[in-house]
Amino acid sequence: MMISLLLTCNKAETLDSMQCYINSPSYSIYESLFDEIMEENRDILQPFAYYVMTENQVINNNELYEQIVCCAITLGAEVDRKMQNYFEVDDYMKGILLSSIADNVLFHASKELYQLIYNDVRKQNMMLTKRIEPGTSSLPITAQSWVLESIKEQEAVALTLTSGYMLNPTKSMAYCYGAGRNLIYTPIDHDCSQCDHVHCIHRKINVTIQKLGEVDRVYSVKNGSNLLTVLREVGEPIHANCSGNGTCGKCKVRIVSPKLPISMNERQMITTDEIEQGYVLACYQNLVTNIVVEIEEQNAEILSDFDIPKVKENKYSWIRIDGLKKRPEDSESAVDLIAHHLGKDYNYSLSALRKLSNLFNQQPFEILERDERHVSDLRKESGSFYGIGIDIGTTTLALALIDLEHKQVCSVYKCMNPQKVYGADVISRIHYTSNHTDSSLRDVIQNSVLVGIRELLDKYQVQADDIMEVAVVGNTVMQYLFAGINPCSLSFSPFLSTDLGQIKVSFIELFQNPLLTCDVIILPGLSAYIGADILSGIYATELNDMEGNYLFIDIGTNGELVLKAKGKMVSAATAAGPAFEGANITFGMGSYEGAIRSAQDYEGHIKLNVIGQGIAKGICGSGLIDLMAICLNRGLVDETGRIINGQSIPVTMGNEGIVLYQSDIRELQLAKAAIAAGIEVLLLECDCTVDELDGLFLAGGFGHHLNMESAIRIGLIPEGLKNKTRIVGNSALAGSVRYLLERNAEESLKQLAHGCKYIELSNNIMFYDKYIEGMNF
Amino acid sequence: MKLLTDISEMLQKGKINDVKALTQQAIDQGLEASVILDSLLDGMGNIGMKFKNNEVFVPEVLIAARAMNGGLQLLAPLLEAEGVEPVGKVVIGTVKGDLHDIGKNLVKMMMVGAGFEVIDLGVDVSPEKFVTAIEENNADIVAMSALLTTTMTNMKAVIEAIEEKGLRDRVKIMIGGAPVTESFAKEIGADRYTPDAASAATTAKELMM
Repeated sequence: MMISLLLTCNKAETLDSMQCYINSPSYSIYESLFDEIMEENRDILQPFAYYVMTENQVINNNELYEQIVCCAITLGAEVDRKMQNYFEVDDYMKGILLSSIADNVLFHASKELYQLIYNDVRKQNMMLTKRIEPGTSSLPITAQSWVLESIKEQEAVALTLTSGYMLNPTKSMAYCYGAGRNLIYTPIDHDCSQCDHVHCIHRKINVTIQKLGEVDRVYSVKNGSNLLTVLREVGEPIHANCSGNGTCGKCKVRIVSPKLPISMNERQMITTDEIEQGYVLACYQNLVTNIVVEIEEQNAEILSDFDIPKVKENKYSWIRIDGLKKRPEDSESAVDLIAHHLGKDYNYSLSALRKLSNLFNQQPFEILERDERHVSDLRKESGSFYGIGIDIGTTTLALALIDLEHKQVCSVYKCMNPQKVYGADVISRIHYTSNHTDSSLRDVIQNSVLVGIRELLDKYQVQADDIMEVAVVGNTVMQYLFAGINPCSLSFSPFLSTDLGQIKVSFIELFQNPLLTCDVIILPGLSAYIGADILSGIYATELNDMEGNYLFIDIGTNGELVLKAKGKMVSAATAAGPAFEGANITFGMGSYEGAIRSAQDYEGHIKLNVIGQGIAKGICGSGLIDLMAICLNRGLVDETGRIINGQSIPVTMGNEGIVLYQSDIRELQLAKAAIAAGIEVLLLECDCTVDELDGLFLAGGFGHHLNMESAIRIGLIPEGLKNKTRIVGNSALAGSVRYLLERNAEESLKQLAHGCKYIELSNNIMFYDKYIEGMNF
Repeated sequence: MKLLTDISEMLQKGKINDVKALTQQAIDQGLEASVILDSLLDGMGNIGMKFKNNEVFVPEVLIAARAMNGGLQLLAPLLEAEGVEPVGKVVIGTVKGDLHDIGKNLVKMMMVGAGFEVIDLGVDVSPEKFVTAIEENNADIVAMSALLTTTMTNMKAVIEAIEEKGLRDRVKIMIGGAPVTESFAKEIGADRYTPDAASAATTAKELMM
């Protein structure tokens, strides 16, 4: 039987196969030429296939093959003629492109045929071997004629062989599979690593990923693939602070085998010892051979501590419905009857109506009212109901499952933000988005959230149906990437945001996944750089409702500041730079195992506190501030930030110990000066002084470990706040939880955003004066 | 001369319209067709070098060749009127039993780009057909392509047919294709083996010296 296969041709693959790469100047020419040729030749590119099962005769002495499946696919003779026509008029571009298109169509058709045959063979309780191609070591080229003849015995195939065993028409393939009941399970069509065609442009190579305590995983990737790209695609948590630009040196991995050549640039970023052990920078390695790579699991400290915020009025309440009955003479619906009974109209979701239609005749029952206007759920008996708060940080992701009835945290899920492989900070991720058309950044974060939700539901045995709402906070860029809104315009002046209001969307529409059926609320922000995470933090700490003057600081990649003083609320974002998260610092790292978290000077002896208690591998933000303060106290660095003796200060012993360089100190000076200056500008704006402040809220993971004395010593935090500081933990997540619990939270957040003035610092002259002043220690 | 170097440069960038316009300008200024042709050949030669050095890939070469053709079409009648002879005559084809034509076509393209007149016999070409074409066209070079181990032996048959006809001294023999190697060329008595289209063109030029 002749099988008509799908005409599938992938443009990117086709152009790639003729060495036309996306960065080449002629790419766009070939792209449009591709469209033109496809349009013109669609009807002559249709692939047809035949396959027949026959007794094993050729594939010698393998009795496991009970049957041989002989296959042929052809596009027919017209494509050959058309190609020839192009060449005859010297149109080489079209001729060669059509040839590549035809090859790609054949390739996809053969994959489709494999599935058909595989299913057919499985139905007969047999298994299939990998593809066996004439002209390779497993089958001589002369077998081509046997394959073709076997098909011709049963089918009328318009294919012939030349004296050199070449198929005519040329855009055709003939090959076979072995099939048998006792074959091992092999669901692979073709295995490049076993193939004779070592120079094949379609050749794939294997990347084996080894992880302690896990089964090795093998991925087939295109020859020449970049290792960082591969690791990103398979979801390995690789650091790539500079987004693969080859400058940060953080995407270091160990190649178990073979020994890969190392470039000059890599040599400057990894030590000789490490090179000896097989370390490379993933972004520099384009793979041309099978490799085994080792990935070290990094256990990060992720802050998810928060206190359940105080709630003024509950968002939800159960109302019992009993004794409602429709009278035959009236035309009221069940919804009308409930409205009359309770004295007000309610909005129902479709799922609520569905439940109502089942329950109305089984009174009494309970309705769950939300914000006094909506019906969120209906049940025979009242019971627990839940919400999920999500904080999407640039570095970390935290999800909290909340029992909304008892106002308690059931469980928290936390992980690294998987987008980190596309860059450590928001700017490098925006950069990736503007250079790529794919939706990788959205896909990876949405996937992580899905994994987190599944785990929370599983762990606490909560039914998906009992989740009422999901509230999401994050900085504006994180929220946009999560929602699939292009964040590019946030990265350059005038920092245009697409929308800063609350976004309410059904879970299914947002995730294209029916795990939950409730709504997802993406909470509002204040400006491009004071996002929902900050607004939510203020909401959680009740800053706006407190008597007195308070400062709120969240230091991450940026330092966001909010001051509530003298009846005013003002905010600003300082481009503190990622120094406090370990980027741009030679031995800098995030709060992972091995990071120096804090340091203390005990009578001339420096005591280091390392996350995980193991050997120190680097320094995270709070550790950096402690070390800086020690250096200043010991007089190793003068007030201008200059190292008195030499160019570096050793932190740990040994040849390859951790060192603070002059450049690291400069980087820290820039960051702390930006925050200090931001605080001063806000104070001036409110006509307030440090002494008048009643308190400082320190939010975020960085604030959690910050030693106030050190922070004051280096001039990051004003001295007067020493004993007035409150560590509030993950206030962004806490705010999302308050949103889930409190009545009219939507309105409250809207008013909060409205009542907070944003001050742009990038063009603020006062800020620059203070910035320069704040540079010294 | 600036105009001539511009032609060469635009050709290397694959700008067909600019090459055409500049060529017309050169013609209008009364420059000799052969001089203008040299600037086209120079551009194509440079692209060939870059290709050999892996600086550009096939797509860029194709675009440059398209630009070259644009210029050549304007020049062709003038070249004929001036009586400009091609660098040499090449008979090209894929050998019997083999239907691969992409590689052979690329060689043809590069040879035209090097100033040769190329007589293309197509694919599945028998030894007799090769011999007849060499005789009829008084060819300087015969270039054969084979992509299969089962057909590369037919190159030997062609060479034997050429020898039989007593043409071996009059014609240089070049061969190429994926399974073909330098040592295979020696073994069957071909003059040259080249690994890619660009080196085929430069080698052909060397053979004409």
